[in-house]
Amino acid sequence: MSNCPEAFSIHAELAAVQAIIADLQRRWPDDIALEPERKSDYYRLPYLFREAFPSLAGPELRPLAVFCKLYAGSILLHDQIIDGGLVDGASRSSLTTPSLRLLAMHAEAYHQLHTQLPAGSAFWDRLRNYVAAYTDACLTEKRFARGDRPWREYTESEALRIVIGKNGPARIIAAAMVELARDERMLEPLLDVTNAFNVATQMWDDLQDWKEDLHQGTPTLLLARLIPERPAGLDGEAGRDLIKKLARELYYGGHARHVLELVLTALDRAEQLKHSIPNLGLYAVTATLRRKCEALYADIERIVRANVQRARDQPRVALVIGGAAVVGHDVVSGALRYLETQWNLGFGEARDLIQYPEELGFAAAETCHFGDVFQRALVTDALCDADAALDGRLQPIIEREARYLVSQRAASATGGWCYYADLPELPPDADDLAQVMQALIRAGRRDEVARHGEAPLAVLLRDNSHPDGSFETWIVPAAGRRTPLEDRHAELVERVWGIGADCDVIPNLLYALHLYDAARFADPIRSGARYLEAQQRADGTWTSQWYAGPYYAIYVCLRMFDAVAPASPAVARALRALRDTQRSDGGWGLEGASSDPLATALALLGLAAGQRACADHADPSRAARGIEYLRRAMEGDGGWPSHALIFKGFGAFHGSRTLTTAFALKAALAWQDRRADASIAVAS
Amino acid sequence: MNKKYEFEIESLNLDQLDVEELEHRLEMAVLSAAPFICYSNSSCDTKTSG
Repeated sequence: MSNCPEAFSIHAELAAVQAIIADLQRRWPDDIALEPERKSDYYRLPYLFREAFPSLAGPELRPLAVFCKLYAGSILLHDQIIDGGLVDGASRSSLTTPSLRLLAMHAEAYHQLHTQLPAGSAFWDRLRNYVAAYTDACLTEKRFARGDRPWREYTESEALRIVIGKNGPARIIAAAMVELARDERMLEPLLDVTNAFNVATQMWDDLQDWKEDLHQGTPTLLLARLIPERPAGLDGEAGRDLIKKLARELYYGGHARHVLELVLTALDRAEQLKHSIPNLGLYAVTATLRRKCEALYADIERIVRANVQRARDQPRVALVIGGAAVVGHDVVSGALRYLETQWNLGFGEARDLIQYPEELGFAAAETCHFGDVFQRALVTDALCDADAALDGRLQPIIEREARYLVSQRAASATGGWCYYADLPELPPDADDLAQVMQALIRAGRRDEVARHGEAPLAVLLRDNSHPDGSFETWIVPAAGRRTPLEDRHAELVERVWGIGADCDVIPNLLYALHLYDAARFADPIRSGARYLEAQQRADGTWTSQWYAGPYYAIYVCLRMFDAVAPASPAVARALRALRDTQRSDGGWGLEGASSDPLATALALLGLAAGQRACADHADPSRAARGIEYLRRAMEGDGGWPSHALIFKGFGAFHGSRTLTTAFALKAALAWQDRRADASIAVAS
Repeated sequence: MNKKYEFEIESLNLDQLDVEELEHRLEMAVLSAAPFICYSNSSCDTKTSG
């Protein structure tokens, strides 16, 4: 509502309403609080309709606004009581205070209206009718919730009847305003508007909360379309399977789409007075909901169609060749099983989503940006590790992934790859370039690196490098060499994305350069390695700007040093940091947190990378305990839980089960390579 | 009004279709502040913008 010209005055009015309620509170015991704890935009309803009644000034609406807040607050409190949220489990006497609060809130609410609306006015009959309809709707809903009526009878017309019935409080406000303004003509259109608006918000909530409603047994139109009866129980594996099955039906059966269409249709109806009352405060709310709804609708449609298309076109690859399937409960077999499943599903689980604040000027705040290039390049790298042990059986997957990565390159003059490929304002970066280069080279597509990697590499090494051997993370040509879009990139790097060299990015690119052409890039590799030696902290770690915890940076630094400068003193220091932080359970974890499989996999990878230069006799035993920790942490489908890894700005991190699993696979293979008797379990 | 994606999906096994990204997208819609709180569902209070 910040864009509403009346925002400030509404804010002042709401503050005045709060002061009035505080004054009323002095007449009641302290425990009988009149002020609702729960926040709600419904308290603003009189102000959202105000423009429909030009004769009503702000202060004249205050008693009604006090009524609205007390009445709406009492209904929210009542919801908590009947849902059992206020029962402490030991005694129902815990309901005494909230029940008495309801009495007090209602008494003061009605008292406010008595001062303004005469006893003989039509309003009071209407109020009775609306409250009666509200109670009837609640009772009907409870019958479905208790299982007295099957959900198959919760038809669309029944659902809409309940939603409109439960719109009683908003209808009371509309009726009161009509009475105050003595303008009966507005009653029916305003009731229709508020009913439609309530349908829109309810359908939107039903979609957002569908799992919660399912768990609580709350019937909704959406759930009734998915399941004919209230589910008996959702605990355990069967419950999880049912939820997953319903989720698939929800999206691919068109039910999410249908509910969103209901929202949009209801919003059209809620805005029906736009031609006669163009500035109704409600429209700011309906416009926001419409944008959210349309953005979600468009994304669901796009994702559903893309997934269906892929399922039709992409051959399903199973690690079954000549009747052999990957089996076993070891780390490698589990990880391969999980990654195979995710590949067949299109790696949706690994995709990172973000919404940027509208102030940045990228797109509407409701627009989601999607990124999976970095993640899929990492997975491809892990699959290349496994492919070597599987005699090339993963090549069909690896080839397709390489093609996908090439297809995702940036369209800007510099080219390269961006973390969110669909966000033009995001410049290509050294980390994505490094990861894609590694994946393509290891996939046997060095030609694609030559074709698409040379231009961004040239810009990075020419325009974004520093004399100390470091380079910027963002790849942006120097001033005078930029296109208008790259000028915008440069401005955003200064203002939003951030400048500077990052110790968790540089080693990744140096390693990619080493794989690509070690001789040609010997100078930047050497000076970059020196820079990282100088940046290492006394405890053997590096500052990590883009990754959670120290283990990713340690791993990529050790991998780079192992490849280009194995005798570097930085190796021993980094290995000490790893050896000193292994936990008694065999795993590694972030500071202040328990061990986790992602930190463990990264630490194991770092430990493996340092073996050539600084092996310790106890390292194999450390690794065995780490792998055993991973084995124990593996979930039933062969994957590992998601843990935060990639910093995406605005205080948020991205992680996924796929990423954890890819690193677990790499870690297990890295140590398996060192055990002559080990092999991947493949059924014959 | 139940508009399924009949043509594309009839021959497909739903298990072959990903829901994680769709669920993640829905979560993004939930995380951004809800424009309004409804009466019909007590769980809505966590999302209100007040």
